Amino acid sequence: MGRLLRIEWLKVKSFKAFWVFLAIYFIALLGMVIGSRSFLRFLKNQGAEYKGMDPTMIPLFDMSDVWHNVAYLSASLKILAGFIVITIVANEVRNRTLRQSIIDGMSYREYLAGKLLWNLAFALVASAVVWLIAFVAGSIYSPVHGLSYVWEGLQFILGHALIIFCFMCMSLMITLVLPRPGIVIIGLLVYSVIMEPLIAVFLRHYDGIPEAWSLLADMLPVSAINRVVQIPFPKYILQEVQTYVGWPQVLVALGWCGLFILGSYTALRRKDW
Amino acid sequence: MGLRPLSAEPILVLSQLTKRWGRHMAVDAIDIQVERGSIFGLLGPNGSGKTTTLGMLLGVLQPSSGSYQWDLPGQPHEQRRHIGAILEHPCFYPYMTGSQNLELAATIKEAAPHRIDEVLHLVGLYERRHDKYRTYSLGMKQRLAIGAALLPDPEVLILDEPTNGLDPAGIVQIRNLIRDIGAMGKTIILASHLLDEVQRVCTDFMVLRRGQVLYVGSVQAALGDKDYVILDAPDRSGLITALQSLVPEADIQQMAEYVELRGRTPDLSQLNRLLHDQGVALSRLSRESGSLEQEFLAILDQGHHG
Repeated sequence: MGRLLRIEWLKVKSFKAFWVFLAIYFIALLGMVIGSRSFLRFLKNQGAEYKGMDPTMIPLFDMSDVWHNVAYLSASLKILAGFIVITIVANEVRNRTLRQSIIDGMSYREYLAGKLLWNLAFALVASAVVWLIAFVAGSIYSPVHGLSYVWEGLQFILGHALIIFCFMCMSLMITLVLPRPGIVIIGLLVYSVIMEPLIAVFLRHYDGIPEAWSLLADMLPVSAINRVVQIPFPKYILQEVQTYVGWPQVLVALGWCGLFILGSYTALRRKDW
Repeated sequence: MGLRPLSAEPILVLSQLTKRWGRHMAVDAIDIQVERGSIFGLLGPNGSGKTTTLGMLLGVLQPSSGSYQWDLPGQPHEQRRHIGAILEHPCFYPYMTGSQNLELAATIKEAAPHRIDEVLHLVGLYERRHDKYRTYSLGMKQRLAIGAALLPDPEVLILDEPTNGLDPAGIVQIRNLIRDIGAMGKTIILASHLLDEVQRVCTDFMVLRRGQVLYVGSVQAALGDKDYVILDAPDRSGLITALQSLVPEADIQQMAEYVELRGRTPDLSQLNRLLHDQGVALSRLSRESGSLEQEFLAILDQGHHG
């Protein structure tokens, strides 16, 4: 395991594109959390309000809401984590170093295991940063403090890690099937932001579709991954929201993860490199 | 010409190894074996299936049918760690230095770290080890690839056009390196367009054309009876007359600048003495070896008409 992680580290440690994407990812992560309060102030200045409550009254960083809120906001950056995987793998295919790794004595399983370990390590490090950001924000803005609050929301941080890991696995599979970074990045964006939501709307609301099929809308890959940590903000207008990370959502996300890994292995094994 | 008798100790056996892409048959049911310790040349025109064959042997192309078996320890990927290989052209990370690229290769191959500096010295890149790979000339890239192939002190070396892009000094260096490695008892499989190179270093060779094996055997067997003698004299017609009477069983051919004598011929000093006794003063006398180039063209021609 150490050898495989070391191999991945050697590949990226002087790869500029990786560091640029990584910097963008963490700056965006920090910016999104810091910017969220500014955004609420902006909404207030624009006169936004709900039943006499102005947006700045939303306790974004209160313990223990902070974990769910920050985990949800941070998970929206998963696409950047996907871009990192796409850039690294497409670079290996373009320079034919993936092929050379096989010639040099890596098995396809080892290659894939290296990538999965790397994805896992990235997801855990990113989630540790998210935890730290949430902890600092909570410590500054929350009226209540204490160790019990620190551990309370850990499940959402782990849910965040699962989301990042699953999305990186999805990006890995797509890149191995079609190693053209430009096409894959645009395709992934179009699918995640436009196509899948449209398919979901179609499954939920089209008259000719049986009602049971609307359940499938939640099972689509990006939707299923997103549902591990769902939007927390409706609770501030007194609507019911997720209060814990549910096992059914985790299992569906893990199921997709398994399919992405199987797809990646099949692509590696079947294709000529 | 024909299949070489089964070796007592083959290191590689190919059984009906086939690769096709759609209707295109790239490699057509190859059945050969490579002896341990031999230097095996792979010859053939462009598109004959040399690189495809090597790609399958190295696990990066999936055979359509048939199989191959390395007599090396471990699983297939572990076996590849005992093989140093360059396929087509060097494949490294352009943004990494020569040394970093070798460090990565050594980690994959589980080679000892001290080998990195050793091979850098061996291929003459030690001084440029901290330069980015993208700044290397084609020859330097090729030498780095050879260095990477030698990292694990491999039992087998597979080189696909190893002298591509090298200057004459580099070609000689690589040729000597191949010979030295061969002398250490390692097995080398060498695909090359340079027939002279194969003739100089290989013990055995195979000729491929459109994915089919046209010939497989030893270089010695192919060229053993192909030696010939070149002679010339101021009185060339007198020389030919004398030769016809002295070596009637030989094939005498008058070329533009000399006379060529093929077949059973006496040794040169005896021939010189006999001709002198006949009153023929020679201005030129030498024994030439048969060339693989001629043999290769003859094999291809035979395959074309066969």
